[in-house]
Amino acid sequence: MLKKLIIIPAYNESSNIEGTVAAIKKDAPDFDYVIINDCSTDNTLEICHKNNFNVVSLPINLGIGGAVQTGYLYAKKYGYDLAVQVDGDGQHNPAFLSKMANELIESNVNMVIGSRFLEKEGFQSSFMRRVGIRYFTRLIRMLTGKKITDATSGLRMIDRNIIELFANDYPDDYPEPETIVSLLNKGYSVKEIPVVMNERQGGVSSISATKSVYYMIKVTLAILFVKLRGK
Amino acid sequence: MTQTASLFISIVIVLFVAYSFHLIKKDKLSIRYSLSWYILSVILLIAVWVPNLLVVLANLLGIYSPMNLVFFVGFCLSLWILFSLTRIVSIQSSKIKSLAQQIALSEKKDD
Repeated sequence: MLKKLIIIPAYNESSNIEGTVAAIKKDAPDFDYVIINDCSTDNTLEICHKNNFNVVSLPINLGIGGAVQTGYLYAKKYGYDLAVQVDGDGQHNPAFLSKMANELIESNVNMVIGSRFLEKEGFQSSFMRRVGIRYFTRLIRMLTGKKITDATSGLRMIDRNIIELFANDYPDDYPEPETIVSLLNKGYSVKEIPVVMNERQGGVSSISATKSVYYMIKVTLAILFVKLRGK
Repeated sequence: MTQTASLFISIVIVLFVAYSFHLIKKDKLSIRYSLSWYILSVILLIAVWVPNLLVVLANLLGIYSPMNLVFFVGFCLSLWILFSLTRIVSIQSSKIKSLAQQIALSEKKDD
C-alpha cells in the first residue's frame, strides 16, 4: 500500500480550511494530509488545533514556495511515496486525487498535473489569466517540445524521486511553471489529466492584478535560467 | 585639483573610517562586511593624493577633469558594494527559509 500525502499550504485560510479537510476525509480517505500554516495572521492555526488537524506551523511567513517545500520536506522525512498539493482555499476538489494517483502509477510518470483546460469544464479563470497561461503553454512548448495546457495549476502530484528533488530545491515564489520546465529538462516525465476546479471560496489569491506583470517577467526569466543552467 | 578639495575629501573619508572602527569595536559591524568599504576608502585616498596618477588615467580614459574620475571610480565601487549586499541578502534569505522549515518540522515532532 503506497503512502500518499496531501500538502495543504494555508495562509489566512480560516474560512476554508475546515471545508478543505472535510472534503479530503470524504473524497480521498486513503490519503494522509498535512496543513502547512505559513504564519497566518488570522486564526487558521487555532482552527487547526481546535479540530486536531495535522498541522506544521512555520515561525515566519515564507510565501507559497517555501510553504509547499516544507510539505515536501515532511513527505521526505516520513517516507511518503507520493505527494500532492491541494490549496487550502477550496479551489482543488479532492475527488480527483485517486484518479491522479492511478495515472501516476499506471502511466509511470513522475508528475501528474490537474488541468482545467483539457476538457474546459468548471471554473476557467479570468480572461487575462487565461492569456497568461496560454503564453506559458507556448513558452514551455518552445523550450521543451511538450504541451502543458495548465502550467500554473497548483494541483500537482509527484512521486518519491521528485519529492526528494523538491525538498532539496524549490523556487520561493510562483514555482509552478518553472518547476515543470526544470523537471522536463532533467528528463523526468510530466502528464496532465483533466480536472474541474472551483472558484476560490474565500481568502485572497496570492497573485493580485498589480503583481501579474511582475509575475510574467519573473517566471519567464526563471524558466530561461532553468534552460541556461542545463541539467 | 586644489589642495583644499583633497583635504576636504580626505577628512570625510577619515571620519567615516573612524566611525566604522568605532562600530566594529562595539560589535555592531562585522569586519568581513566592512572590508569592501575600506578598499573603497583607500582607492579614493590614493586618487586624491597622487594627482599625477589621476591626470594620466583621466587622459587615458578621455575624461576631462581628474576630479570626475574620482567621482566615477567612487560611484562604480559603491555600486559594486550595493550589489554584493544584494547577493548577501539572497544567500541569507535562503538560509532563513531552511531554518524556519527545520524549526517548523522539529516542533511538529514534539506534540
